[in-house]
Amino acid sequence: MMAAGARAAVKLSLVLVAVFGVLLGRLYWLQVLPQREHVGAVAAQTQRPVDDASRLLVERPYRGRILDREGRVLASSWYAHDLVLDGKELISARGRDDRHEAAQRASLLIRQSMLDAGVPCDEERVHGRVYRAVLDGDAHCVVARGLDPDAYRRLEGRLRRGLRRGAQPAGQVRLRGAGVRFVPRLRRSNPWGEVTSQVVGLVGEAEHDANERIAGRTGLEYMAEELLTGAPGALRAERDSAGRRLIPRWYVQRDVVGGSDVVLTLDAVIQSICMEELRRSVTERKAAKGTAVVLSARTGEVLALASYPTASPSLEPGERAVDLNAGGLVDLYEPGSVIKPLLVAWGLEQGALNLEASWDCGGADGAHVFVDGRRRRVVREYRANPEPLTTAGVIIKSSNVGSCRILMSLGLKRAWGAFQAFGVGGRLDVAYPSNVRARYTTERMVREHSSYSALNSACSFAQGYEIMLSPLGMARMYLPMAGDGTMPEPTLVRAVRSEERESMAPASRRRVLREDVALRMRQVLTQVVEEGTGKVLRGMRWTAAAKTGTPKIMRTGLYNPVICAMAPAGEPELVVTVIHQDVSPRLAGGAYTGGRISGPVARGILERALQYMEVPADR
Amino acid sequence: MSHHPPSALSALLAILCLALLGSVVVNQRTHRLRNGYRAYRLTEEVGKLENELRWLQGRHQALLTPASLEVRAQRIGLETRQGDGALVRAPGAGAGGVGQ
Repeated sequence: MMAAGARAAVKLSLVLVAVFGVLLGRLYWLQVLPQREHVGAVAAQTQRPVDDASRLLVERPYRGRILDREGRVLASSWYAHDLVLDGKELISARGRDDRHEAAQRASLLIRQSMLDAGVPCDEERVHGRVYRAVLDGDAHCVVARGLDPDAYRRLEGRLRRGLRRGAQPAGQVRLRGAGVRFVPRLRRSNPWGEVTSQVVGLVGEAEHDANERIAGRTGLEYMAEELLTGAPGALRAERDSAGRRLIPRWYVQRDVVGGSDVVLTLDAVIQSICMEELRRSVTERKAAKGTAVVLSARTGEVLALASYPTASPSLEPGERAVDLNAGGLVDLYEPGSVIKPLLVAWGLEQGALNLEASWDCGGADGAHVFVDGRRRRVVREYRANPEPLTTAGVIIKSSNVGSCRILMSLGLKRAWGAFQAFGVGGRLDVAYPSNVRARYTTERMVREHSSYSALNSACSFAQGYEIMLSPLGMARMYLPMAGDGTMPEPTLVRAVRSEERESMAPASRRRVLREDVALRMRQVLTQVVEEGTGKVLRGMRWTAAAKTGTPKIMRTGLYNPVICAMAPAGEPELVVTVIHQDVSPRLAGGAYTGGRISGPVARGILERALQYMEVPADR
Repeated sequence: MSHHPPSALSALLAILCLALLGSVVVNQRTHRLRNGYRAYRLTEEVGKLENELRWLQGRHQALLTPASLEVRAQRIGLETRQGDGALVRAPGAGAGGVGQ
């Protein structure tokens, strides 16, 4: 009996084990192994119909920041949110009375929540929108736009509480949370506003882009678009029957790639100083425009690139889009007398000139007629120099006749050689849109066109005419004289930082002058400040070297006074170029020269920037 | 060689073990589901916090610009250096600057 009973128990156990085994296997197969077709079937039964886009959660990247050399944020991104109502999702009731009742409740809830959260709410407008969205089943009704993260958090919390099952009246159509969405929109902050807007640039919504992505329109925002824009990530999410989202384990996630940060060589504080000085001067002197460029004498890095008038990145009413251009790079001016040291330096470098040579500068007449065959050109002095001047004196007194004589003795070919050596005609390798190339009368133009002549070009070049340069180009000309005779290439971008690595911009430098020539030229330019046209820079705590220029625009009779300065003169830290556009002596209180109009601005910039940089005084 | 017939107790134990195993599997599945909800909530929260941080950093930077500092300093009667907004004189301070 016992044996038969034990056998039956064993059989029973085996059957039970087999049944459990099958059940467990089935359970494992269903619950543990990924069953995409079953998930799809379950999704079809339990989830609301949702399109692929809403099941694929797109993780949006932040646009990279633009920083200054000290790490100050010049542009950064964040997401504002729009409150969007989906009338189809908000309620499932079909009856018209039910919808009316639900629309009333939804409108009240949203208005009350907005008021509680401190979000500006035009109650009548919001009521109308919500009511219509619920009644008509509108799937995309924007109720509020551009909520900042603080307002978004408060409003979302209040709406979530109001939409809880327990918070809604029993026995009435339920308002569902899935019907209320917050749609993110990328926003760009520019903490330094109009001070840096010309370099940083601005962004706008990209055209033909369903996601309303923003893209750079001007300045660095435009130039560094590829670096600043990241790539969106993707996260598969499911929604349950209550509309809640969850992230299933087996769905593939693509990591979001944030945009890289672009670090500029600019110093926002020096930029701010330039903008302040220009604002005051341009307003006082009633000039059309003022531009200042500050370069590091050691590295050629652009520390400031400012033009006034400027405009804010949001282009407020009354502001002009054209004022968002960095004038230091995109405007071309005749340099006037600031070209003279370049020609002399090249003559010294070539061994064709010495600083002690004497030049007749027109005598008491203050004018001289240069003759070449049948061609004649009268050159006049700004102020007559009855006695002959040395080469250094020609620069110190800014003699036009003396400068023409010097160039005649050097030969026109040497002038072109100087332009080539100083890179005057080359494009500045600065990452900025509309980076214009300098223009001047070339050797070929003189050779092939009868309207040009060697005599005219020589006399023009010697006075800084027939050549047009950007203010940055003018500042660059002075870099070899401010240093050891080598010329570093001006740069605007210092580094690019991504999550993985930091790439530094390569520095390039080439020799233009011998070291002794650079030093002697700096001594001459220091004399310009001590006893010449740059006296406005005397009396600072730092010694300065400079050259002024007052090119006249023949067509209008107005002036573009300019100054190129460097300080401290012994071992310059900064090279500054300041130029005013369209200065009328009548409107500017009788002043119109580089020393009197642009000089005070250069002085203000040098004094304040050197103090800010904590450069020890050398006087 | 001796035969020990399996008792009803051992059968029960085996069943319990299997039931335990089954419940672990079911629990694991539920746990994963719960984690899915939690993962979504956390992802969302982290995203919100990062966004708030970036927004606040922008506002903070705007408050630190020289122009903004000068405006606020003037409002409370302090003197600042133009351009970089550095404080140069507090009310009642001597001509030498702050603290002198």
